[in-house]
Amino acid sequence: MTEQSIVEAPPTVDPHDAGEVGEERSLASDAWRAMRRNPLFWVSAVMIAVFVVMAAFPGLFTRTDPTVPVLAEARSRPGDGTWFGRDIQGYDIYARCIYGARASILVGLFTSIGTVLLGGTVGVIAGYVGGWVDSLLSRIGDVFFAIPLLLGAIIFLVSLPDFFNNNYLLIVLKVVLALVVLGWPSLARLMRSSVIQVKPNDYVQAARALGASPGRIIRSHVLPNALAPMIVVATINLGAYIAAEATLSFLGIGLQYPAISWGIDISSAIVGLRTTPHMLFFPGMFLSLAVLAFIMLGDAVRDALDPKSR
Amino acid sequence: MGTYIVRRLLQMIPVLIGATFLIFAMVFALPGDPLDGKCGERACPPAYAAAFEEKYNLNDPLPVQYFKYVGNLAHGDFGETYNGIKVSDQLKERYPVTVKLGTMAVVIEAILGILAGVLTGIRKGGFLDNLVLIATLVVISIPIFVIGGLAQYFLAVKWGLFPVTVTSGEATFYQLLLPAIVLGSLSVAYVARLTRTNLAENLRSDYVRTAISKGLTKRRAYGLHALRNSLIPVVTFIGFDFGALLGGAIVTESIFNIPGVGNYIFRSIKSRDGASVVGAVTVLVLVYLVVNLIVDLLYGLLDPRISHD
Repeated sequence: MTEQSIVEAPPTVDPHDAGEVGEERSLASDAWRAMRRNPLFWVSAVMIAVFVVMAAFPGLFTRTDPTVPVLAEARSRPGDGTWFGRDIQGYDIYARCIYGARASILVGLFTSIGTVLLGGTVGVIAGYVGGWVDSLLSRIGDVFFAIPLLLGAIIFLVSLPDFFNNNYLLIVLKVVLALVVLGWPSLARLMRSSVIQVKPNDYVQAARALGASPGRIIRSHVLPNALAPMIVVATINLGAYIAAEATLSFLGIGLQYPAISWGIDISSAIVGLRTTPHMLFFPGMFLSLAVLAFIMLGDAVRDALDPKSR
Repeated sequence: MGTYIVRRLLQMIPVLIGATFLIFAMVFALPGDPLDGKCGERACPPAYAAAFEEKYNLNDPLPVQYFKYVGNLAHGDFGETYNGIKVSDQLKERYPVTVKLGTMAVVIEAILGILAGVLTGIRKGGFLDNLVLIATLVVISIPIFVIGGLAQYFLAVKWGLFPVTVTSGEATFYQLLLPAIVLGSLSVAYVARLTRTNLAENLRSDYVRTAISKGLTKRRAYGLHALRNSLIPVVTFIGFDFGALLGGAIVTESIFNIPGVGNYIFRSIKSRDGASVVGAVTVLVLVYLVVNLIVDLLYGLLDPRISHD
């Protein structure tokens, strides 16, 4: 959706690349060209691809069932029959690391989509309509923004009815909901300020003079030119939401047994830190790599979209 | 200036009311009955239950309960926990530790972050720059509870450089040092990156070139002119972060066993004690709003073009 709407934008011609005449130059294709040359982008793209495949088809990476304990070999070290060793319950840590990717990727992805949709819509309406609507929406955003993310999410998660604990997808959705409810205002603020910057431009006024409806002006003139900052922040936030999910699970509030999550594994490993540090190391490494991948992707996207940094 | 502050203070009121109502509604929806287990292994006598429900307004609908609560709050009365202890007394006990921890973290974050940002921003692309960039990426991507666990294990348990846990409510500076470093580590990385980007951008600007060409030393041109302008977004971030650190200290507090407000809220949620949760979060929101106002007032000092008249 975003790719296409950016392509529709009036092509911005970069005077430095006047050599290639004839080829269509748009902000998106320009950004894509810059991104392709960035090794950071390729490293992060490969890492993200691996994690997404891991989340979708964990069976490709391991044949071991992560929920079958071998109590006799509990707390065994890496190399003693398994790659990463076993945890306190005798579960295979490697298998759990692989299967844990699903929860993190799902929460990160859904939360990012949710905050972009909710925050983006509110931001566009507030920025475009202005007046009392803007004041009202901004104040509502302030209310949610003032509540600390982690604490708010904890209270929210505890107060949700038991209906959400029925199956895996609902538990994931519960965490997503908590993070979206408390996370949307930052994106709404960002979107509002970029819409306000775009709105007074001549081409928007021209479209209005030609009789275009507000919906059409927003869709084909305002949005394509105001999306870039939000895309960057949403990508970086995806990594932050993965970390937030793990933190909530670590505190025993987010995902819970029998769901498999890196946060849960780290939480149960921290008691045995002095004797069996490998139980903490491997899930911690997977979690950090996943967060790192999305932050690097966000950096690469920002470098490509922000002409000032080029 | 005066009218600006008054206007901002008035704007805080709807935000504060909205935030407290939100928390209040969520706490109201918490499952479980506060009377459970109150009278040992039997149900409470009806007379006691009625008196209890009357005292805590448990029979009123949500809006009425909320208005009664806000009415008391306006007098500075935070209410009582279900055990009959005054919430304000508990907050007085818990907040100093967390504020001390948060302040130390913010100071560490400001000093280390700005220093690293300046060193890398001046020589963009050099060895030090790349080193710091990679280091910040690593710090940002490792979640705080992993950093906390590792720091506690290596620095405190194995090498004995710091105390392992905080043992009393009146924690000393030394006891809080390692937790503060852990708490501020993520923000140090963000501040360093923010300072670096802004400084590097400002160093290319005309007014710095003018300052150099009229004979100012590099130190003066960079320090006085470029750095001061680059600090505005950094100060915004640090101000916002202070509130976030107080609320986010819960993980650090649980790792290092610090009897702070995060721990208190967490325990109160688990024991379904509504008054404590709402009271503690209300103070957090208030601190956040006041700090943001102070940050906005600081803008005028950093950039004289911004005035609040």
